[in-house]
Amino acid sequence: MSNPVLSVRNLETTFTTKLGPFRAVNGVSYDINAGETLGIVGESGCGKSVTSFSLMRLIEKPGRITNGEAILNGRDLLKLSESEMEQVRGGEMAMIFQEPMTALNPVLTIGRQLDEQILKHRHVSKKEARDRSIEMLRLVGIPSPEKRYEAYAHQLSGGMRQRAMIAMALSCDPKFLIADEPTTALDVTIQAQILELIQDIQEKFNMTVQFITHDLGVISEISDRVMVMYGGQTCETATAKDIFNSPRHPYTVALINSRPKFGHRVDKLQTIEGSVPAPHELPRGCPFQNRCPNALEICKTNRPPLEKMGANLVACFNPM
Amino acid sequence: MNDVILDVKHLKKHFPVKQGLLMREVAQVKAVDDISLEIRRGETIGLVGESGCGKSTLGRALIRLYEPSSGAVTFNGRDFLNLKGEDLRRERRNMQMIFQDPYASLDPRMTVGQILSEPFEIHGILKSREREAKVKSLLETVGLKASHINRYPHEFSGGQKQRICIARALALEPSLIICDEPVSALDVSIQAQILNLMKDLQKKFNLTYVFISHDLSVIEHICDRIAVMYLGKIVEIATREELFKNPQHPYTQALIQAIPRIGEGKRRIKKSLGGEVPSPLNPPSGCAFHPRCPHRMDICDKRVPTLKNHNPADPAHQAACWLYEKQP
Repeated sequence: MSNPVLSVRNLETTFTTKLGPFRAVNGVSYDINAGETLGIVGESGCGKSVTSFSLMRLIEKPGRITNGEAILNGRDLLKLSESEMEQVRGGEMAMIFQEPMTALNPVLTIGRQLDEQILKHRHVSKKEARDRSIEMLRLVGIPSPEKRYEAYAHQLSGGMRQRAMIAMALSCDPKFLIADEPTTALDVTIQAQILELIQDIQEKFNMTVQFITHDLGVISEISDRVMVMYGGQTCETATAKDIFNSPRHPYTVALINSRPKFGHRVDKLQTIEGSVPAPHELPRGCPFQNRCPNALEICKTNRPPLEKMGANLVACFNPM
Repeated sequence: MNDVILDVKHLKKHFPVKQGLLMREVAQVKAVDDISLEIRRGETIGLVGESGCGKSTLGRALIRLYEPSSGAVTFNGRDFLNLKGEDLRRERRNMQMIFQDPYASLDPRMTVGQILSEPFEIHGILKSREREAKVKSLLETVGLKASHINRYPHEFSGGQKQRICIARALALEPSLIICDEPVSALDVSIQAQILNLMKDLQKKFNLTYVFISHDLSVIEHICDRIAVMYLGKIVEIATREELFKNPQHPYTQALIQAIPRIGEGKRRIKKSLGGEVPSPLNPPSGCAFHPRCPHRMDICDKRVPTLKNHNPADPAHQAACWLYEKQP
């Protein structure tokens, strides 16, 4: 394909705990092309959020990025100094979160936070920053933006807070946006509003998006391509249509069949036996082997490489 | 199927809003506002709606975890709201509740055995030796091991904790279980295990479920009948097939439209509804949905529509909407 905006190779993020070190992200590689949305899906502890925080270099102790590279527009994010990284965050790349209150400062007005962000990344006057802030609030669909500019985060509803956070993330025209479960805490009708907004803005500014969620429905509608993660590794990558209609990895198949599918009711849902192993209990070889209906001897000792199978990239010795 | 287990008539639950130095009551939040509903033995009735629609309050008011402000509830033919003392306690054995957050509903300092014996102690049923056997069989009923009896809640995963909560709810052999978002906090693959378990148990023990959820895919999977709520009122009620095939209320239509579809590929997402749920402190006049309704008419902000049948093909299908009424 064309040259990617983001190219991640062998990313490895390790947490050192009392129970020993464990790799929350264990050798993940992927590309995202310009203007594309890559959806990353998986259950709790699969490493999807740690992957995103690693790209933002927001991993805190006892965690550490221990290997790999992440090339954004030709520069390796993992090799930048902290001050260079500060310019990249909120400038070239930005991130939105599930809970906007973690990203918004409760004791500063929305406007003040937007201004600060703009002044940090752009050589503009205070007046220009203010104008831009209000324009951003209008862009994300906040009614009477001049009034909301003076408001504190707690004075806004959940949906409006999410919009304010998006305004802040987008205020300096990032080319790459990481959205980490941005609609998980919202009601369905508000969720649709926010997804529509993200798509609108993406189109308008030709933004590249990495969208993380555990919700198979949302991922199916918003992504061009989908990457499924389990135990810190990539199981499978394919287009949004292929991943749901012709999945090859046993985990992808099981995950899709365990979700009630609207309009396709079944009497009994397929389940995956057991539960996700604790991070320090992940087996050698394939992380899914102890719950996998297709497991072979080799799965216990060797890690399956991510390989092309038909239109999909699959990491499995015995795919469906 | 005319065996009504719970008959709810004009149920209201209003919360006072107090303000100022003297904590005078300045307003009321009508969390549940005049709801009538018949729940039949052995069915699963779903309550859906967005945050603040009153679905959880209704669930709790049904079994008097919140004391209703007015109305009537008949449970198994008895006037439940006027029961007191020992009578109330005995009747309550037949109704149980499962909550969203299994972490918060289990005492971390009690073993699973103690947690599951408590219902028997409170109601003075079974001798202690019989209790242990019963607890072990309960654990097996919900797919755990009898040997787990001496473990503490933190030793279990989220899905297993929810199984413990289900076991506790089953202990006294209830006929009705209120399930308040029982799978919302769980991962997809664990959700499936719990939903399957709940279906199996329902068949085995002829349970009636009131299933509260904001997730319409889960609701479609598990419910026989569904009531859609908006700002304290039921706006539409029908069987699962009818509600999803032929939704009448514009709010129900918007909710169904907003469900993300799996496997149809990327699409341009269009919001199905603008605006947000208004504050229940200050609900809109007339039909509470009118400010967001794409079909709003003159009458809608003036008079409240009543919930009634507008579907000649299905007499059990009711909606509260002026669109289907002859204009006065």
